[in-house]
Amino acid sequence: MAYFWIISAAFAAEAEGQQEGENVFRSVLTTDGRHACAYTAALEFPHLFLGRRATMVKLSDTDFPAPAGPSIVPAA
Amino acid sequence: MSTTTLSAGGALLSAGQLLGVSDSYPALATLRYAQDFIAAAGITDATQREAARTFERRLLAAGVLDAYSRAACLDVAIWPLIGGSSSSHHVNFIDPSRDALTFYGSPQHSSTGIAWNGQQYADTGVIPSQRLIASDLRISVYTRQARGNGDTMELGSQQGANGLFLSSYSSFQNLPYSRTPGGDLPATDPAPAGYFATSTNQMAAGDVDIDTKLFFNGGVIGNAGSANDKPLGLSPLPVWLACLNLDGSFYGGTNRAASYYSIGRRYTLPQETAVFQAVQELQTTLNRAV
Repeated sequence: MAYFWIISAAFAAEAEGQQEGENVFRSVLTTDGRHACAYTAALEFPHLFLGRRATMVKLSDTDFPAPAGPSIVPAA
Repeated sequence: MSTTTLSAGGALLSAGQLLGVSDSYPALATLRYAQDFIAAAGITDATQREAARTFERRLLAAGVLDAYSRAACLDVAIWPLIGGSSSSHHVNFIDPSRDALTFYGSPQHSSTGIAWNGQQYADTGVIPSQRLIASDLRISVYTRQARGNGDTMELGSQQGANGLFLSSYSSFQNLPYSRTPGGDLPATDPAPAGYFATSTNQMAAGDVDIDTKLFFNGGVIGNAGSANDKPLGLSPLPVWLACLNLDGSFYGGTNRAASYYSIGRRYTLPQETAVFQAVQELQTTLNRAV
């Protein structure tokens, strides 16, 4: 379990990929369609959060989709 | 009998100066890995600075660092995660002027390293197909927490069948697992938190077989000979930390904390032992060993 901010889709779209030094903003979709970013994002990108509504929640691995893409299971 | 002394501006001149040569051979300038790293990472804490210097001495003694050439070091990059912030953690110990990490998703930085939440990663910029040799490579990670469930990737890059990764837990093996151009390799035993590495080795000159080994705390926990070989190449995508860069997408993010990563060339078995001891000493000095 880890703490995340739930943010709006508009906030996520605007912030995605913004870079401050060696840090790049990244949010991910939960299985129920919410945009979540790490709670530490507010420390690294405080200007993005100014005047924005964000809700802190605790999420686990099961709140996120299973790894996507081709299987890494090796061929026999 | 009288003695004549030559002088310049009242100062006595040595024989060498009279002959127009220096008194000693010029010394080759030795590199100062720790000092350069400390300056680039902005580390001011005395314990952390001394830990970096001791770590440099240990790697020089092990023959992993070259005293005169960064390019001759066995490792392309080492991120010792000293300093407690993203600005210090992104610096490469081997050459602070290149291969700085870029962090995606705001992982938590502290004096114990980086805590990942399973949805974050760091881009090393190191492209295996450009910087590594299939039969002579090595990647490593020092994880500080016991494994999770599901595919948990600590670092790696894969495009198509060409992969290089180190997994602390594989859902299809229930074991630590590695993939290199030498093939796929599960560990012989599950392992808790600690220092994982995987490396490749061409068995003999001209031999197409590539041997893959998986190490935990300096000891071999998996060994694949020619029977497990697959004709795999190296990925043209950069290695990501805390997940696998799978065809350019995030895969298998780890939710474990880590305090050391490296990418480079294979170590000898004595070097594996010596570097594990150096890495463990570094973690102990920084009060974050497991």
